[in-house]
Amino acid sequence: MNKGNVTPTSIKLLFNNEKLEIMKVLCLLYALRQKRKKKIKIDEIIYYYSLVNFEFKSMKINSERKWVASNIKLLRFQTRINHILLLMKHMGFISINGYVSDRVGDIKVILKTDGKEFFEENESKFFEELKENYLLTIDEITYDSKRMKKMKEGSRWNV
Amino acid sequence: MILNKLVVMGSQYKRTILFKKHFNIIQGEATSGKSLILKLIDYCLGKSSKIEAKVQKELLYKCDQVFLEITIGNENLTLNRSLIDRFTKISIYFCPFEKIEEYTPKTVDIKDAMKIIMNKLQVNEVKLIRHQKHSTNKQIDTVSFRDLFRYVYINQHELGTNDFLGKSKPFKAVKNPYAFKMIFDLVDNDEESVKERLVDVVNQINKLKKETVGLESYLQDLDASDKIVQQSKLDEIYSEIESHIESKNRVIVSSEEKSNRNEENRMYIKLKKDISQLTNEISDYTDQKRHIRMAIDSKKILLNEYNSEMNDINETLNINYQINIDNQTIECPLCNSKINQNLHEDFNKEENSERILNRIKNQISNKIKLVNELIKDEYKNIEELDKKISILSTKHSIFDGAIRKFSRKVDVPYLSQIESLNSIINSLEREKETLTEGLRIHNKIEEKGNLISDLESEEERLKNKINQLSIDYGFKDDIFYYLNEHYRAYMRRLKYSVTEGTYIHIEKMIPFYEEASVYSHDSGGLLECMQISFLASILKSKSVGYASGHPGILMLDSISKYVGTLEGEDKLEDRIKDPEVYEEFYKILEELSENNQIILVENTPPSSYSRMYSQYTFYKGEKGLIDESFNEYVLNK
Repeated sequence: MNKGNVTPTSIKLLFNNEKLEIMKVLCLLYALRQKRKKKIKIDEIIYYYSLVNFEFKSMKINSERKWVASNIKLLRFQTRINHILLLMKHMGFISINGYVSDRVGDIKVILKTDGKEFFEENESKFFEELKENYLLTIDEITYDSKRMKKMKEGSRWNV
Repeated sequence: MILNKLVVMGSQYKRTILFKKHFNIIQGEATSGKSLILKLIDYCLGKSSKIEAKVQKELLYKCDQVFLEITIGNENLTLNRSLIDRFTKISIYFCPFEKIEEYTPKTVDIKDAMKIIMNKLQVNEVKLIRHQKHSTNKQIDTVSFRDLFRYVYINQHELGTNDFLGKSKPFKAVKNPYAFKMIFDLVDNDEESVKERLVDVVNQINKLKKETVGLESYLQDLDASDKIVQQSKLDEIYSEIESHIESKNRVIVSSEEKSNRNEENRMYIKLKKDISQLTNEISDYTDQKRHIRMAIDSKKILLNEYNSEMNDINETLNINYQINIDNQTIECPLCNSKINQNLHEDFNKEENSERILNRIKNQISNKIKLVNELIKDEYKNIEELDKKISILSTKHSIFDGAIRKFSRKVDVPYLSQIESLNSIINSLEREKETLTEGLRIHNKIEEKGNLISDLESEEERLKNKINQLSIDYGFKDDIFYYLNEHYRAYMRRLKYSVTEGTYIHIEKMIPFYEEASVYSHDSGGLLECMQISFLASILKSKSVGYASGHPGILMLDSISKYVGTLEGEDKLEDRIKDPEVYEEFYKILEELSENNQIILVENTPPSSYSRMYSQYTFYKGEKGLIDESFNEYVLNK
């Protein structure tokens, strides 16, 4: 049945849970939309998604706020975001506009009404909390490409 | 200075020639070796050229060294010089000739030997600046004993000739006026060297004073300026160290005594062992506790992970049916190319997905349960350990109390006492070292102070000397007045008419007759008279205290050369025809010999003088100086 693929499903799901990921990205776009951001760069999506979901813990070291990054998960997410967005577009949740020559991170994504409605229908407690998290993070931290770089590096950085 | 004896010596031959204090005549035939005696004296007193082997065959055949015993002041010296090698060295024995076996000689270069003789005569050498030979460069030349000696020894090739006082050798003749000044203590260019020495001394004093100031400030920094205070502190510290060492010894002794109480010791040792064992056990248990806590913490983290996984699975279940990912091709919005969906996860097939997800959910909840159970167990373990630890701690405190009471009786901790005494002693020792250093510096300062006062007194002397050096022209005039008077008197005695033109020149310091100097005249007889009168007047002035630099010896070789004999000779104008003049020479010499040593070498002296003063008569061949019948090796046997 599995053709030599012995990984148990639970572990596969840990790494590749497409439906959940789609829902989480949708949640993020919804939250961003609430903050009056219509067109969102893919880089920003990666940025905020990683901050909230990948245990970017804030620690107080020497009374300074330092963010500890789990950069592996970020990088892995980076490889998957394209596929996720394609699926979302296919399902009609978002619209993507751009040219072949554009840099992937700069391509803008717009949440469609269908996507908005879908999210509101399926919003559970889990996603409510997630949305709140997103909102807080968007308030606290603005998108900064330098920080993005540092997150990818995996170094600690100050807020 | 007086010459006592001349000894020629070889391995097989030895002969001594004795000299009397006053008038000595050595007579003999030609080539009998009489002039050789004077030459050997000259050789011992530093003549630079050696005795020629080809000329003095007998001498160098039998002898290889020569000794000259002299008396300077009240000191006896024996000068030794080899005839065959080491021509530049003279050995000086500071003893009479008989005692040279008991003494080690001072072997020096000729120059240094001359310096030593000059020192003994209490005459300072004078330095001149002159041009080097064949060059425009200058060099320092010293007016030494050899230049004085030209006024003492007139050999037969100089007497009665224009070569008087080495005139034919310009480098030597230029020093004659200076030698003359040295004889009469008229030297004025000593002032330069005295000033040099004064500057040297003052500089040395300043340097020493600076060093002293430096040392004193160092002492001040050490706070050790007062020597007496330092010394008393040092004594105090010595006694303190003593007492501490004593008490330390006492402690050591008593601790050795007390350690002989065996039973009490054993109990104490057992108590100590038990206590350490307890402490070890307690720390073991505490370690275990720590490990368990760490395990619990990591399990809690794992639990968190499982919980979030559980949440994810739940949500996945919820939205599983809502989101449909179908198997169609997807179009890329940018480039519009078609992408095939590869669904190889079989849970995406709807029939299985819910079941699979539920199974997973169960698995996770089982895991969560398991971990919780494990955590509970760990907590139980911790509790048990805590109980054990508390029991042991109470035991430990009981033992501790017991040992404290025990050690109050036993008085065991000597070690700490000894250690504290040692540290006190060490710090005292260090202090002692600092104090001794301070005292050493005090002593050094004293030493330098003594040296400074010595140098300061020398400075005084030198300053006085400079003051005295300003030439007393009156003094010079007096000398020349005296010299001229006697020079003229002697010339008159030698039957020359004395006019204004007969004098000793005050600047050139040579005799003149009829306005012409001793280097201008030709007549041998006249020259001889002038020269002998000149030398005689110098010697005569010694009796009134002038010419203190003159050794008081006159060595003349063959004064009869220019005296005409009864056997007809040619060039009679050059000769002294008057035999009375010849007698007069001897009279003059005899007079001078009262206060000076005269050594005269002559073929045929007048018989009266010969009888009185002639000790040695040499004959030609083997009856001369080298005469086997006088060989002292043979005679002494």
